[in-house]
Amino acid sequence: MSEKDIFIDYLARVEGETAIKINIKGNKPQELKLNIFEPPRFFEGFLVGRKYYEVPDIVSRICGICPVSHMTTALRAIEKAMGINPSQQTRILRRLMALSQMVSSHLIHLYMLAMPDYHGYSGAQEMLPEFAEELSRLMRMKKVMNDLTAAIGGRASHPVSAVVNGFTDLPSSQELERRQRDLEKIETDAVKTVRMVSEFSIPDFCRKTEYVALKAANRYAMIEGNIVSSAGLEIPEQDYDKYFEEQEVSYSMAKRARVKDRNSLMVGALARLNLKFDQLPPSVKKLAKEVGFKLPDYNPFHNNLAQSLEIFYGIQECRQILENLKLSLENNNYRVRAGEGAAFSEAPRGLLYHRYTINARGVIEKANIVTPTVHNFANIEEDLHHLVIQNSDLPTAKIALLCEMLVRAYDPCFSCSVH
Amino acid sequence: MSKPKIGIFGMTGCAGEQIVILNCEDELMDILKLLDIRSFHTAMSKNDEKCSLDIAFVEGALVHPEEEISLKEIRKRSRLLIALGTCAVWGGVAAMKNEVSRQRLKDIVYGSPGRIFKSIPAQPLHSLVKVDFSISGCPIEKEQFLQAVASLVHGDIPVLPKYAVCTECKINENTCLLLEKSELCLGPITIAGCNARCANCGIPCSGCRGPVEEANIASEVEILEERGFTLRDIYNQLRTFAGPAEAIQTHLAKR
Repeated sequence: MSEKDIFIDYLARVEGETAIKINIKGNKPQELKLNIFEPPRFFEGFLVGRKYYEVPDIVSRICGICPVSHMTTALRAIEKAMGINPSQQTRILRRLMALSQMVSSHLIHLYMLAMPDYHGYSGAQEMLPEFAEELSRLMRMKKVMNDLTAAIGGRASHPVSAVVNGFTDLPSSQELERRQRDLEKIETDAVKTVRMVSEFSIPDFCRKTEYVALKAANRYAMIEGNIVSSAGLEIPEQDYDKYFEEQEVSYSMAKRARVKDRNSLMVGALARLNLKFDQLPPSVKKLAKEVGFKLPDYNPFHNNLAQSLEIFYGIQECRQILENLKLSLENNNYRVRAGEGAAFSEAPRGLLYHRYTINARGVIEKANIVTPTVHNFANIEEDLHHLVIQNSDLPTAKIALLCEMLVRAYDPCFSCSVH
Repeated sequence: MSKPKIGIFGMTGCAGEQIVILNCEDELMDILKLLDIRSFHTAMSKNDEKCSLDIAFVEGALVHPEEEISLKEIRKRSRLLIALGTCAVWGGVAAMKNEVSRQRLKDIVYGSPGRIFKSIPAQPLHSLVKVDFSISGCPIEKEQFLQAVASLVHGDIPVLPKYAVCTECKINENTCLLLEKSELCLGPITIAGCNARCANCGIPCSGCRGPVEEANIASEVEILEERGFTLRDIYNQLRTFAGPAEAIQTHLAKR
């Protein structure tokens, strides 16, 4: 029986450190490991003993790409623990930050990490000058989105002004108008991005899985909602621990999360689009149809296309929010109380969970964080398994490239996954 | 003049400095033309792991023995080694509880009886190799990075401010959060360069850029104690971003 070995010792163009090891005998993988070797920083360990108000600032440092998600999710978990209900204005500003960060994150992934594969390049520097126009478009769009995150949070990565029950500083109305005008200027760029991604020659691959996302009644949920899945799960966020479990993996520093007694699951842009497509505005639906996005979509490589559609959606949604936004200084007072709180958000890469136990002095007694890549871990390995079977006739180097592209399509964040 | 050969490397951290580099939207295209990037794992799949480099930018802290080996290799092949970001310069958030045993942290995170794997208390790069220049910040400020690149490609060592965030904050005429509002602000002992970003938003400085040279930590601690903060809270904040810094360690050893 023929035997092939794939060993990618340090996967490039993803965030963090991981290796892929696959041994194929005949047409079947005998051994298949996503070895996430990024070392842990032990966030859940050193948060114990810290004051609750220090947590959002610290956990934003888990990730340089989705700091807004970690910060906001921690804030909400702490607020839930203490019985604090933030104002409508605070919730809207958090949504704006989440959307703007999601668009920036998707942009970096699509243009700089995923796209080189589809044109046979190593990275952005090699793609110049052939793709100078595309890369200029990336820069233009990313700047607008980062400026929006910074206008609200005081800094694009690791924001500063978001605190328990509100913001310490608000952007002026002139600043918001400028951000709105900038957003208008990149809408055409967003459409071009969707069309560009739809022209990638996406590998033909399909594997049915359970999609999981946050869903709310009246909007495309980013921060608040219930956890729903394509297999009929619908639970409030505080019940996560009852339904999900984290398992240690002997060969990886990251754990794997799944719904108890079920197979692997997928979170992120493709999961959101599959579960919440009907909540998108007509313009996004129309563009999705034009580029051939059909529901249900079980090709994980299409996570790229889903991200591009979310870029288009995110820009429109931010603009719409800004159109009607009038900000005023609010009283952010609250009382420190003991309690336990759990919260979710849709980070760019999917469901992110924070849970804290806080004592009466406001000190953290227990912390738990489950990141999108931890939710996707088992699914990535399952997909790799089937991808290898489907392509086992190909030369080893081609199978290896397909495997790399698949892992990248998930836009994993290994620093987050280990934390 | 041939283009300088550059490597951008990550030890353990959040990749925040690499993101700040990618966030130099107005300048990145020019930077890409100006430099010959030989290694940048997060952004390129063909990386030259052996060639000699003019400048190595390294972010992240050392938390694993393997990283010590790879950092030494980077040092060997690089004319200049630049530490990027607070993790690389001071140890960063991963070093905030270096006094706690790694096994204890493993038990908390991975559950009892605990995983067996290698892990060392987080250390800054200069604890192991010579660092030619440091740009701190969590994350770094993109202007400082761009200034540094501009100087370095011209063969100069960049010049960064040597005063404290407190000075920037006073120039901005902010209300003093430490003296007037009695908040736990580390502005007086933290190295400038962020233009007092947090205090401008009404947030006390958390010291994310690490200590300024000759920081008077004792006096800062005394002022905070007078304002009712416990030593535990003060030390926690001091150690959040720059625990291994000599100034902080020396002060803690005296108490």
